[in-house]
Amino acid sequence: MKELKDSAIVNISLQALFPLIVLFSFQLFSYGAAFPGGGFQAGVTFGTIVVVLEVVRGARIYDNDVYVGMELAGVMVLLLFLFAGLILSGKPFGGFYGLQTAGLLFSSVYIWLLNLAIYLEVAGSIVLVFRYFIEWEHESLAA
Amino acid sequence: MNHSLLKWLTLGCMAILLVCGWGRGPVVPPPGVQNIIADFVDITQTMNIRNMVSAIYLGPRLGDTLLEVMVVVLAVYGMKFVRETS
Repeated sequence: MKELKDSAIVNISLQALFPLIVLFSFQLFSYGAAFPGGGFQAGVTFGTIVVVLEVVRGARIYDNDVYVGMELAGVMVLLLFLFAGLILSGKPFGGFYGLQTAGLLFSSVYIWLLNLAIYLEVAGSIVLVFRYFIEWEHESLAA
Repeated sequence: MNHSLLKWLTLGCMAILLVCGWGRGPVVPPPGVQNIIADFVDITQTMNIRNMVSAIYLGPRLGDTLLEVMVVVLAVYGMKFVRETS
């Protein structure tokens, strides 16, 4: 039976779709304050397309370290705002909601940064969890 | 768990829910819900954003969001730990 990775249609379609879906995930988190979307949705979108591409191709896109770095960067930003809020306003995450500009993209700079942090964290986690599951499955099939 | 036991437990729970909910009519929002929605609209205007869902989970419920993020991180490190020890 022909494997998916041998199919030219699947490979070319995914190669063409991959950058568009990554761009769409950027749009989801960037404009999450103004339109439906947000960090979680964007992270899942990014993670899903990476996982699908890896499953079809049978090869990794970037090492685990990249996704661990993304995940930790997201968590660090959230913890930074947690403690900075405690120091500045006495409330966790407080004191930053006033960072606002005109326009849709950065209507609230703080919300944009929070969405970015959640996006990085969720995207990295989704890819890592699926990779571990796939490696587990390969090991159990090989055994 | 035994499949047959699970099947009967599920059917039993569904039967109990059906009996409890029979004849109660459609769900009606409690009084004061419109005031809550107006509060959320105020929150979005204070934050200068338009997405009410984002305003809630990145505003009053940001703590829940952080905990959810921590759960995902724990899932990753939990899986890594289990793979290394197995």
